[in-house]
Amino acid sequence: MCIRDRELKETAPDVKVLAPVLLTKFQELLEGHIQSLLQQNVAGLFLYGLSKNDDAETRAKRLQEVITHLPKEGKPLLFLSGNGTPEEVLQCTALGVDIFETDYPFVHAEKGFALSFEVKMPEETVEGERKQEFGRNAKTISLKEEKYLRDVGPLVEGCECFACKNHTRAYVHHLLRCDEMTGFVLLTIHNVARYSDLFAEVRKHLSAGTLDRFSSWFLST
Amino acid sequence: MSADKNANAPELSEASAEPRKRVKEDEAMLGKIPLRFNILARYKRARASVLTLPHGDVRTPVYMPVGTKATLKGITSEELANIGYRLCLSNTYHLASIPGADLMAEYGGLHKFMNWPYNLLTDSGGFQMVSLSQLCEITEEGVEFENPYDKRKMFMRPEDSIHIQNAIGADIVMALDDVVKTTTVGPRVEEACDRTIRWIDRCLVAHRRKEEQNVFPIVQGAVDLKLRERCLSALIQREANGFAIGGLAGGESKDDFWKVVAFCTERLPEEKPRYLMGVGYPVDLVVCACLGVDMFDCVFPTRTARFGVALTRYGEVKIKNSEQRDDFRPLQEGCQCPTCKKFTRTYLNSIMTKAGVSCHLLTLHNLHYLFNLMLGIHNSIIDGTLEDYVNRFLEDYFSQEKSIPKWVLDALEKAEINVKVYKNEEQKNGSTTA
Repeated sequence: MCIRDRELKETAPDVKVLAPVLLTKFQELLEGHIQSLLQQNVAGLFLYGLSKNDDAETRAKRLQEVITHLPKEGKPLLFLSGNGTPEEVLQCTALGVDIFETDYPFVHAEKGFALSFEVKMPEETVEGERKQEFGRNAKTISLKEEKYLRDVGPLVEGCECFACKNHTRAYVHHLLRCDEMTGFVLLTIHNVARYSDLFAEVRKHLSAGTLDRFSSWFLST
Repeated sequence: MSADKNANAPELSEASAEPRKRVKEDEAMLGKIPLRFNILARYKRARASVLTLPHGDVRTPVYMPVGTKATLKGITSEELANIGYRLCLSNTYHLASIPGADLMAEYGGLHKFMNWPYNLLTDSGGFQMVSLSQLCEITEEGVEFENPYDKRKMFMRPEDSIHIQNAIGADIVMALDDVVKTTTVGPRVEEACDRTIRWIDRCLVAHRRKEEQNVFPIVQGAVDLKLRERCLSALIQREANGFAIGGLAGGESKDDFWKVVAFCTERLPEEKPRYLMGVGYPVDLVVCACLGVDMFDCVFPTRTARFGVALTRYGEVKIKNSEQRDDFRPLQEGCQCPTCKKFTRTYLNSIMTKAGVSCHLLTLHNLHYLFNLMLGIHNSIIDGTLEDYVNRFLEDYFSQEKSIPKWVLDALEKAEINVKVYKNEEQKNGSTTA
């Protein structure tokens, strides 16, 4: 690692180096590893190793085990490679993750699902209780279902993305039924747009200091 | 013939009008006849025209991409329109099953369903019934075939084909013809030729939307010029706004192919568009445009893209080849398509079998290439430089080959296009067979 870093500094000084850090229950390995990385001035830590079956509690625990060893000032960027569920995004943003690496919107498009969760929190919200932890099963609609055969509305009502502004549920349903690539193209466009919107809202609420309220609202709707 | 100076502009302005000699043209303006064919310029047999249909103008000669099941594979309607296309195809055979004529009517027709505001052409389903169905029996009444989706036995009469196409709502619909394999010989060919004539009459009678959709008859006869003559003379007596040449591009020799095309274009009405079905490869498009064809369709350019073959000015580029692996050039230097502006051959090579988007990128390029090829033919006819254009095309496209195929040279000779680009002395002297 040291050697490569030196070479990189000579040949490509602007390139930032990320160091992979396995999220593991074996805490005794983590502290030494992270300390040595911090000494080498890595730009960021690439956190990986979460299992699809990890619940919110486990996730938080694993992340905390890394974060406790990081300085408060000059914290390196935190990348998380995970499922990318909205619940994971909200929770881990609150814990300090900066960048999420995931194929969440793409995987859903591949399976014929359009992401349909609402991201704009209304002005007046009632503090809601967390109704459920939905893990990987975020709010989606399955365009393969026959009920969309005659539905000439947009994929998701009120969505401003290219797919929703130009095409209908009936058309995407047809494309999926015929196994046409264009169906996946349109769903991907929509899902990436909707997912990006979620992040835009998260950033907005982070800046405004209202992330907690937003998370509660989002998870309860 | 004065050149239309706006011919190079991407947006079609109203074509420069010749004096309106015929009442028909006026009627088209009033929307009573859904087609107007305005020939702007000619060069020998080739014509550069503006084809006006209910959903707008189309410059010809034109290549129509094929969007089989209400979409081109992987390409959205907007992307297709952005390249410049104003007319594309869809297949009745598939749409008749999914979503079916009734649903299609409920959706308001195919234009609305796929959000394609420009022109559409649907074929009758005849070719697919014969080539794709497990069971296919043709009688005078119609065609019995097995539905590919649910294996039901279905029966399609000429009237049924037209009614389904009426529901789909394309600007041009094809008459149901009795399709035989091009390589067929014997009495079956004659039977198909005569039946096609009888069926066109049934199609024209059954047609319910005469003011919005054009029915094109299809000339059959395989490679038998006598039968072609018989079919032609009968069909041109019918009231139709355009005609198609069918039953080719199916395994016949290239020599037979071009001769039948030339024979048909000589005899089809001068003032109506001529559509050569199922063609084709870039060199076919150039040669047949010179022979007087105005419209083409073919799955080849989009299909070959999905197999990793890019069509370029200098011939085919097989992107999976190892020699592309370290090539940092775009597919075609100077090409303004989204793929060539952003990506190199080495990148495309690296993702070819791994990412679906590779098909998309190559498809976009091939569509762009063909659009510009046809636009170049159109413009060069208007400028009077078609011969130069054809020669440059041959020189570039066959630059990696030892010779230009003999059939190409023969066909261009018939088209009275002077070919100055020869690969070797023998070809020049006309003694080489490719």
